Amino acid sequence: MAEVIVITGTSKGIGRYLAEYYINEGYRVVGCSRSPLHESIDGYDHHCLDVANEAEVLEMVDAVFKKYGKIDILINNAGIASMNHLLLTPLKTVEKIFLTNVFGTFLFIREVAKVMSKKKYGRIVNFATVATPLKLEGEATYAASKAAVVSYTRILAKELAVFNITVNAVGPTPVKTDLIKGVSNEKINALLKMQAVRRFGAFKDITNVIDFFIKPQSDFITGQVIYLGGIC
Amino acid sequence: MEEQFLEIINQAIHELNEDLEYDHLRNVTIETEIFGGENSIDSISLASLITEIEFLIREKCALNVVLADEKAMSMKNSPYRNVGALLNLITEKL
Repeated sequence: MAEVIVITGTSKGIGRYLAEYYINEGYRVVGCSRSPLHESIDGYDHHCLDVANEAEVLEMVDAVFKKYGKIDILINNAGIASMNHLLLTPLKTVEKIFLTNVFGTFLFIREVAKVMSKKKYGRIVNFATVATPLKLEGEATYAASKAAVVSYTRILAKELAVFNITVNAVGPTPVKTDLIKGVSNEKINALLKMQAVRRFGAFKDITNVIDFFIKPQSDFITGQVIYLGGIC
Repeated sequence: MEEQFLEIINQAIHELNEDLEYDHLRNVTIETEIFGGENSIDSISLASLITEIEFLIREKCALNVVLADEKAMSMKNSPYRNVGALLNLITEKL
């Protein structure tokens, strides 16, 4: 049976690309987003949910387990960003960002790891961001939420190693998606100048890292965060 | 329902003990110690046991439950300290 891969945030951007990419690679892909999917795609199941809603996440993971009996790979892609100065940031924005980026990641790891632990096999890939190591002004909340994801990655790698589950993260540079559509060209160019390789990231740069993390031979690779573009 | 939950706990402990082979887990009663006392299982075994109980409740009772608890690792008040406490936790959560 094909490997089963759960990807969060598949309605657009990187998530949608990842879903299409892994369907084409022969995986059975299960995705989710807040919005319903209005089309039927071979090799793909969609769940409409909020990643920070515990009951909805439980229901989805249970449905995947009942249908396929396993989950081999989890990609925690769902994420939201916000650019603002600290003094102008409403608490509500902080709550929203942490709910999706941190609580959503936590819930999916916890529930999917339960399924993976039964098979004693699993690959989990989280999404970090270069905004954290670059300490970008105006992205404090987003960077802080992703710093939490990095901590989860490194610590849960240890907690889940006994179940033969690896936990790693990829930290993309700016990719031309909705996530950065509100950011000025000036800021984006300044950010690109901080990279060793000064270009926009491409979707294939991200799948290149994920492919490395999820392959069976990578069972000795865990707790790692790979930032793209030469950021360290 | 409580009897069914007790059966589920028994089954999960029995399955876990196939690997552990602990004497005190062979005949499970309401007083059987699970975690935190002298006859404690380790935290990884506890995580596996609780996960299995959640799966069995889902499978046999068609109920989604999360048995995570902030006092899990407490040596004195863990809701997983013995079978009776665990049974209480399940009935409280459901």
